[in-house]
Amino acid sequence: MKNFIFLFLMILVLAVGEVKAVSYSPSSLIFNLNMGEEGCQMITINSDSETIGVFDNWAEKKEMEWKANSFNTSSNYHSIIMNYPRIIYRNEKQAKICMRGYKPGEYHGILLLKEEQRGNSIIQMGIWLKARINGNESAFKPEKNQEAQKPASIEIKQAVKSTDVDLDKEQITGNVAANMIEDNKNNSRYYWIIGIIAVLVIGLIMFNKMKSKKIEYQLK
Amino acid sequence: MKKLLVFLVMMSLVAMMPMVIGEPQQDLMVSVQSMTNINITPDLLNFGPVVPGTIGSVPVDKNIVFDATGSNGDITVSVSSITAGLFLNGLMLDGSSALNFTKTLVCNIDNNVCSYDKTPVVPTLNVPLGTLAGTQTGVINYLISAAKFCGDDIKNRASEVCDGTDLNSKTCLTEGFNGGTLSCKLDCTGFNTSLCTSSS
Repeated sequence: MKNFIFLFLMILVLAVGEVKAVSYSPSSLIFNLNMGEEGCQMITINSDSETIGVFDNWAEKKEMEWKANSFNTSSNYHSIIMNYPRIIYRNEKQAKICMRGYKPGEYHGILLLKEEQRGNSIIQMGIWLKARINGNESAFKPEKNQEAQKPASIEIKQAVKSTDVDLDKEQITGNVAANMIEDNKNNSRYYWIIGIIAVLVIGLIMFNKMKSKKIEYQLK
Repeated sequence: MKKLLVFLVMMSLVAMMPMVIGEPQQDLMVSVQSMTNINITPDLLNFGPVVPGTIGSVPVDKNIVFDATGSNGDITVSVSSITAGLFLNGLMLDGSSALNFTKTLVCNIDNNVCSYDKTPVVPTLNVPLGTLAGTQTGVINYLISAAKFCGDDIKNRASEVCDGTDLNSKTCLTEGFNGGTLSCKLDCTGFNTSLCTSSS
């Protein structure tokens, strides 16, 4: 009888193994762009996962409920080009998320940051996306349209090149801000040093002139 | 005359000295952003030995706790998928199928800091008759997201003046204009009155 019971005993283990604390910021990204214009924003992630996979899903219509499971459409469906690192490594705490839209309208989506499986668990972090693409569809340039159809790898290269400058202008945070403040301080110091040198030089010239006049006067 | 000149130069040097060394100024900047933080415990849900035809449960102190301390808003935790056959249909969280599980961790503002209810979620496992003996393991995939955010078209956070189509019952008239269309700024921090009209 004991053996019989033993046969039907089961050891059931549901592992939520090695679940660690994760944090990310912000909770949503809002892009307000003109057609063909690229916008970039930074996200911050704090996770112990060695790698984090990044991908995005979109709602077919903006009226749909904000529910990740309902967002099953790709960005291409809305003529949106997303540009971001597909994998974020553990030592990278920040990632640049860039977007470009070619069809006017408002679109809702979610950016998913998927931790790698640690033990038997996976945590996905969802950042809500809202994109408003402004412009007139009739003014849609064919060459831009063709650009939208290009392979993603080509698009990524172009976008990274253009966003480096934009981001410094728009994202005045962290190191960028610190550098700007330091630059301003350095500039004002330079002006004062130049001013002092100018005063000293003028003083020296005047002193020499006066000295030579005095000598001339004494000679006379 | 010479003494006067030397005096002037010296005075200008003294006056400029603090500016050369460094202006006593302090630059301030802050970038305020939302933060989502989550800690899920325990690491392992072990239902132990279970006889088919019964319901398995974990020890009470091993119930699931979602802790969002460190976040600054309401957080939603949901189960996006479960792998492994027995757990897929048999796992229940708080008495309902785990696949439908969604829990909102509400930010209770206390002294300007969010605190969260840490009531444990009770996992149970239905083990139907006929289940083969053996050890089974599975994986829960959680999805963490902000429950309320700028862009959801509902003014539902203290920091939001409006949100999308939710203008908090405001119109161009209430904002001091004679007519037109009021809209909300994309960052939810205020109204866009560019389409409001004033009588000439």
